[in-house]
Amino acid sequence: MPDSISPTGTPNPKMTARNVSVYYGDKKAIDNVSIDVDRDNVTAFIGPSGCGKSTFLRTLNRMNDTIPSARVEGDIKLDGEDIYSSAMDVVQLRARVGMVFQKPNPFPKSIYDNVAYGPKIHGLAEGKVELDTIVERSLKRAGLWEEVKDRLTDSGTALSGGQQQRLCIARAIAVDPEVILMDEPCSALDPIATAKIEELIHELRGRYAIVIVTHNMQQAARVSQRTAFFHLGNLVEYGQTTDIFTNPRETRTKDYITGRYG
Amino acid sequence: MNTGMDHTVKAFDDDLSELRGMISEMGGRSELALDQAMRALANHDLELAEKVVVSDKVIDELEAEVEKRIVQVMALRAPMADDLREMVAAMKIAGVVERIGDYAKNIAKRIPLMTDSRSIEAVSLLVSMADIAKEMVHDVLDAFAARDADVAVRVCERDQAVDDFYNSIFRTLVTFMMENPRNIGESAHLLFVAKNIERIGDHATNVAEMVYYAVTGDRLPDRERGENPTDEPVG
Amino acid sequence: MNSPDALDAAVDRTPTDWNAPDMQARIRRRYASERRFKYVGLSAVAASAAFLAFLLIVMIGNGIGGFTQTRIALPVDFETAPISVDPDLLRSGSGEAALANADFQGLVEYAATAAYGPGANQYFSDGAWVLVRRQIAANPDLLLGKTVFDLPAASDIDIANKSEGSAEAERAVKLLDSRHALSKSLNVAFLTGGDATDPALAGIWGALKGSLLTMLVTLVLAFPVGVLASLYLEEYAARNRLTDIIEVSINNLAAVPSIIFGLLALAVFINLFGMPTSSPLVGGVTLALMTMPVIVIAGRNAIKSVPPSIRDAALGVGASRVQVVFHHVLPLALPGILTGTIIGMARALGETAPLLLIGMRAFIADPPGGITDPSTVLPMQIFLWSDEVDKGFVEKTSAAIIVLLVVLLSMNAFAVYLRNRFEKRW
Repeated sequence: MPDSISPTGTPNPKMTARNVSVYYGDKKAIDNVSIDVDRDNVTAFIGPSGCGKSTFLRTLNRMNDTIPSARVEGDIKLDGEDIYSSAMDVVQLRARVGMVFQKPNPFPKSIYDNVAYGPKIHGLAEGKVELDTIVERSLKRAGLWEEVKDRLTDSGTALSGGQQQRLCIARAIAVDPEVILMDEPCSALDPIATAKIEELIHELRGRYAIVIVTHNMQQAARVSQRTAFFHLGNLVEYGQTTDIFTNPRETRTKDYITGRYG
Repeated sequence: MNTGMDHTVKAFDDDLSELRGMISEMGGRSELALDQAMRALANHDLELAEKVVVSDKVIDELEAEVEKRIVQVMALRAPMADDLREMVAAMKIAGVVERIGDYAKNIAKRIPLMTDSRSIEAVSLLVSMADIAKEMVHDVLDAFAARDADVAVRVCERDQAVDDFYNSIFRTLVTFMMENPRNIGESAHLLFVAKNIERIGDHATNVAEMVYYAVTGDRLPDRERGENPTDEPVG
Repeated sequence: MNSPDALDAAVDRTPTDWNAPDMQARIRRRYASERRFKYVGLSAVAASAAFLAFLLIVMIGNGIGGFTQTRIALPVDFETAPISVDPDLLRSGSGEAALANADFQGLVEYAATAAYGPGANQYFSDGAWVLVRRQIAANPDLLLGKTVFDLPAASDIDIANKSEGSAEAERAVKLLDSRHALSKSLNVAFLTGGDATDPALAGIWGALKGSLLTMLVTLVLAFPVGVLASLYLEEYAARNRLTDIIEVSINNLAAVPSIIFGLLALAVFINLFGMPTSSPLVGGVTLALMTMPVIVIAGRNAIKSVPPSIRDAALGVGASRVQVVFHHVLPLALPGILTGTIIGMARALGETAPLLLIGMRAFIADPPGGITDPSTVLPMQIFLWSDEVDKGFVEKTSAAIIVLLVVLLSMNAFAVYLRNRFEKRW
């Protein structure tokens, strides 16, 4: 048998979810999911459309709060702190648990302002020099510095799709988050831009806990060390990516990843 | 293991069944080659032996074709999980089955070098031994086609019988050679034949392990593997 | 799942003949209908352009004369004139009483008769003597000799000079022309003066200033309230029955006939709160009530069109709701909001009915000094002048319409400028 990891058995998890259910009005989108997010690895959420993987991802930084009908039950903890407790400030939470979205969504501002926005609103930089440093460091980590260093005042929306997405990653990095959530970050990109993002994810691993939702199973296989398979709002299987893709234990997982789903 | 559900992309299923068909064909041809080689040996039928040697080429070509198709399927369909394991197993099985064909060819090649050896008692033992090995090959390829891990496990268990036969034949031939040194040449050839058949049994076991892996995703536990044959020291 | 039979049937189907006659006929019909649609659309555009051109040409043709004025030279010899004002008294700065008592009307009549024969004082505008007095007050030395004053002509002479007038007036024009006494100049009084009973002296500035002050009050009240209301409704309000009711109410408010706002303003602002009648303040508040729903509707649409991905992006880096709204949503929605605002303001600028009821139809000669002074507005001035019997006001009416249109066009141009300036792509 492969070395199995139980969904909740990670020794030193960054985030833990216990018995989490999410409702949109009366509809149950996530049913009783318990899972640990490891701090040193990339965790991929895969599953067919509408399986709840994006919904679950968005509960991890309370982005679902913006949807009035959404309701979350169960416990989600970030380093042992309940993120849905009244003591947790949602604004700070989203700075600690950053997010990169499906469609590259830079602000229609300059490249510099895009990256500097987060540090500015959280007061992370004292003075222009420190802000410059943060912007440069973030862009470097996002692998974009060499491409944009001479045109930081150009609009972020003037970049190519892949560059825009890396700018969005730089923007998320700039507030020095602990976890980065990525919601299908490459679905709008061409294969080369996708490969660059994947390489970037690989480089960011270890510094940040990364959770990525993807439709592309090959991508999940390439970038992640842990894979969770969601189906109809349930967490069907969670394990080492190598095991999931060579020897899934659940029939539903196998049927999905071998292309028999449906 | 297989849930019976087809792939959403039907062409993938077509590719897979075609590959399975080619592997079955290779297996059938190897079995036939072994059977014919043993009959040629038993009857000292040089014509049949020649036919075995020639027909081995077809198996070699099939193996090359199977390999090519597997590479194509891997590149185009990106198989995952059990499909991926099946591809990898099929690749290795094709190689192993080709080796089995080679052993049959080796046996057939020896026949012209031997005088009529029907009188030697060990030959009938060899035929029985070859029957078991042939059945193992047959069953293990059935297990691959049916994706049946249990059959594969049982095939492994039978390897012991082949090894026992080998040890018995080894002792018989050694005794025979000691009785009459003029028989040494003949007996040595027969000993090599026995060794070839024993190797075929081992290879059938290897295939069974791969089938087990392809079907279950796990390695066959050690205790169920066939023991490595030990050439007992002479004497 | 296709059954084999279905597949075979599909294979056996006769191949489509794309060149068959009925196929070709269908293609021709399709092209013909496309052409028809194009021409119908084009003619609709041409018709509306023709209406607009007709309106502009008629207005400019009628009104352009209102910006010029016929003036008649009036030589006055103060040696013989029946007027006695001591220039020294004026120079010392205490001659106001003397000027007030002096008979300038008689002076003009005397000088006109002397220059152009009896009854010639009818050639001059009724208020011409006021100008003489003003010039003398400014320069008392004129009293010491002969001076030629350039005075505005009466409106019938003005009309006769610019186009066809009455036979009598035409004769007078011919006479004056033969003496080279006629001249035309820019009608400064029209652009800088207030309303007057004499068309030669009536000006648009009072109404224009009244309009501008009213618009200012409207903008200051309606813009922030409208923008904040639309922001709240879009970004904060929960989607429930209450917000639905509010939304319907706002839409209805935008459709309420304007006269009803006038009645409301009369009842509430003037009678209940005692705000000054006829003032730009009350007018502005009334128009703000009308304009606000327009701004709210335009603002909500503009805010809706800000892509949610921008909100997600800002929330994702930990911006609060207020930061999302003021750093991202509002700047991106602003061009749309401004365009809507200016369209609403333009509508308010042309509004007459509610202002009738709050007393802005009064005759007010002095331009308002502030938002509480009695005042009138451009469309009301046009309405008032169009009612006047004096023929001189016909031209003034058209000229006032031109002024109103110019103000409207510049507001719209400003809206286009703002949209282009602030619009951002994402």
